[in-house]
Amino acid sequence: MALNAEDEEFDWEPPSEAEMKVIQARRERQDKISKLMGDYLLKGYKMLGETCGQCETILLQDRQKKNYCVACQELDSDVDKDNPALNAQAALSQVRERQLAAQDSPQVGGASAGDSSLSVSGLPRPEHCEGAASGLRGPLLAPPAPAAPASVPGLTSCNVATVPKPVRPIQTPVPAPAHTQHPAVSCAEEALLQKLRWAAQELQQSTAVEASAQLCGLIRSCAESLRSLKELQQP
Amino acid sequence: MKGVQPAPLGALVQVAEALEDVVRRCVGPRGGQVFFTKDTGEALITREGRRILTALQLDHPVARALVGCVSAHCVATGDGAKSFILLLAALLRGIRATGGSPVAGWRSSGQTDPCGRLEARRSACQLLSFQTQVLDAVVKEHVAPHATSLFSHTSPAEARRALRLLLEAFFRGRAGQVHCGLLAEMACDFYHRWNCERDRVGTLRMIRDHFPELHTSVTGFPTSKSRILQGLVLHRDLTVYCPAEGPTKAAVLHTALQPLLTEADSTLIISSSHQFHGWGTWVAGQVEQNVASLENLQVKLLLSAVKQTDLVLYHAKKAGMSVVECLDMEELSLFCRLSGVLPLTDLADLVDNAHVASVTFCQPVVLGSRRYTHVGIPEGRDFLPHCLVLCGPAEGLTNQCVSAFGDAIRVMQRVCEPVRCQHRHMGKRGNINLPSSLEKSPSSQNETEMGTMKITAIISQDIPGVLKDSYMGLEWPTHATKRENILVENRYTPDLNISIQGHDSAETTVGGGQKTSDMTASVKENLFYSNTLIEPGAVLPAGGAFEFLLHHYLLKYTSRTHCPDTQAACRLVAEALLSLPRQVYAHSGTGGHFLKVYTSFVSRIQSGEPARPVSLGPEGLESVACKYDLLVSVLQCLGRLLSVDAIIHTTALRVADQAREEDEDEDDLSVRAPRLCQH
Repeated sequence: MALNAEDEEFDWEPPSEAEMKVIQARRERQDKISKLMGDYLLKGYKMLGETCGQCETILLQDRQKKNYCVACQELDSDVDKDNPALNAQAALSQVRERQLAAQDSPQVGGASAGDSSLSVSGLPRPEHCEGAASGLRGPLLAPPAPAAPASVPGLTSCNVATVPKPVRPIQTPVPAPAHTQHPAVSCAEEALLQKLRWAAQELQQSTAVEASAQLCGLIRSCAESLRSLKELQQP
Repeated sequence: MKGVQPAPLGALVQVAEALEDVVRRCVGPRGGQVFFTKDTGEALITREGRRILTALQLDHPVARALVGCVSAHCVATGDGAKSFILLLAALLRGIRATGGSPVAGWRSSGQTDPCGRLEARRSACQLLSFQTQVLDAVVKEHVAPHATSLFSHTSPAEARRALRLLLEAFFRGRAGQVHCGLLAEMACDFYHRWNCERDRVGTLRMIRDHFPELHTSVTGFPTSKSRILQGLVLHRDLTVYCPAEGPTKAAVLHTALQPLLTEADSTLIISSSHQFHGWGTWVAGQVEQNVASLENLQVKLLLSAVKQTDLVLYHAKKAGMSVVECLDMEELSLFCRLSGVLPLTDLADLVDNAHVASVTFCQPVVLGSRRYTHVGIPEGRDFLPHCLVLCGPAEGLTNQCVSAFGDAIRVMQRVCEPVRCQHRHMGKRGNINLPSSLEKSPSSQNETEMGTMKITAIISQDIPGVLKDSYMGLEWPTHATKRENILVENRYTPDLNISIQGHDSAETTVGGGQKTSDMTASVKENLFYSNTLIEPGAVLPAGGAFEFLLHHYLLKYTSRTHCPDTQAACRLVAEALLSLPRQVYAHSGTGGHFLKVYTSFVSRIQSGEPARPVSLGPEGLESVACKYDLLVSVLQCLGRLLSVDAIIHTTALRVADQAREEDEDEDDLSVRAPRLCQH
């Protein structure tokens, strides 16, 4: 043991920036978990002697004898962020990476009306990833926080190059020939209307304040996108 | 049976952090309170750490062990539950941050054993050796000189003010801003009225032991109505009251004055009514005789543990005696102790005055909705007895007030006792040269170290002549309620005890039953010339002075020492110590307040001034002995928790079987695999 320690001491280097960030993020997550656990303990929950199978956090049990894992059910998972099937952002970054590696020429937005999966620069729209993701996720109490703003399309058919930011719609003026985009514009409108409808439904069912605020933001940005699309159609 | 599961460091840290989050809201003079409600409608508002922790529902075995440690510490010292948890959590975070062992550095988790157990065990040993080698030296040589003494003030007013500051700081953390002044004033008053100055430790110990009898709690009144009464309040009403002026005499009875004709389980056969009448007459005659003999000794007050018959009461009233019946045995024993008499068990003893006490007055007193008996006891050799009436608006709050007061007395007792050094030559390992037989019996290196440490850690009582002490035995206890070192009262453990009769001979009995005699001279020397670590009455300004001082001097010590293990342990403890004042100042609202206080303190230390850190809160004092105890407790508890290897879950039905198995398999129990049993 001592010998090994000596050998390894010579190899030890201070952790790099990225590793420090990971350590920091993990520590913050632990702090959040402790705080939530403390809150629940004071509310009368019982701390059990078992740990959660997925994240190794200690389980709590409420008065109705239901087990509750603080990390899995309230915080975002550490690992889920990187899973493309569950997160639109991760999916986007994965596709972008693949494109960079393959060096494909970007497909022009003259895709068939039915195939609205790619827009001008070739990036898939996050709402489709989101759709897939929400299908996989199943019934949730409220739409998870980062996913909802990520699903804000903030996209018009023109605006593709930037990653969609949470809540605020981004409109970068990208010049594009208006007439050739009519089918694109119409399918963009269609997608926006669909999203609007979905958001309205979710808003009716939502019980959490934050989620409702985010859904309102989504509806607002959908409306603004629709307005700008209409302006596009009437040059 | 759920089976055996390994005990990872991560679970320990998680538990400690969750509990830390619970108690951190209530720390410091501006901390909040926790409001408990029961389904029955009872409500309690408290900021007492121990009450909060024991009220949480915890099924996790590590959490329960931790709360057990905290409770044991609070029973012994009276204070410090929240600080205990904060310090423990900070130390665990420090250990986790260094990858389990400070020397090994940062490793990816794949390389260490999955639960970090070896690292954790190593940290435990490092911390324990730190405590015995480094902490005592640093405290004695560097921190203690900065402390002032409560008892060194020239004028009594100054001394009283200092004591009041100490108590105010304590009550502010316990009872809140509103009542702390009143309770501190009352505690100070109580201390002085008892004339504790003559024999501080003895009197305070007696008050603490008999505190349940020395106080009366009254609900339904504001706390400001609490007061101190002279004498003793007996918690029963007078059955027969004959007012008497001036000092009278009292007798304490453990038996009935009316003789019993039969005993239990025996049968009385009365063959005729003549016999029955004869019996009645005889009994009446006996009662009259007994009461008359009491009257001859001028006894005017009878304090009886049992219920007396109507005949006795009639005769007593005729003779002008007051009678109180059905008193608690504890109250009667306290009365006997305070007045220096023996209780009457056999009426044939009623010839001399050894059984007759003198009381200065006896009257009924109404406290709240009940009537009690108030007796005055004349001044004893060392003390003048007084008792407390503590009021509160609701039962929960009154109980809180009572427990805070009781703990204040325990703190005062601790302040007045000196803290003795545990071994003579600090900084050296194995400094007591025990004969080689001790090295023979424990088989592993670990146990030898433990053995040596325990031998060095036995001296805690300053009873001259006979020293009887104990510690945690060579086996780890399965429940973490034993406290060792400083705060152990006289408890024997059969495994290893050192008793020294006089100065001549000494015997050591070691675990396996081997006996050695004639300990070397160095041992005897060490045991008798142990020096004081912390003087009685040593206090420092409240608000983090102890933590800042110890932090500063520990960091200086790391630069002087060369052993990397010691350096790492010093750094770990020094960092963890700062978490306490950081939390206290976090509530104050002004950002960076902690840093301001800390930097001003450091500059003052470096310029050579005595330590007087300015805190923006109200002034106060805190005891160095209590702080030292807390740190030692935390290190011990942490050492034990970190060395747990496995948790074995059992069910209640199996416990009896397991106990039987344990008796049979005693050889199989080893130090290396301690376990926490949960049922």
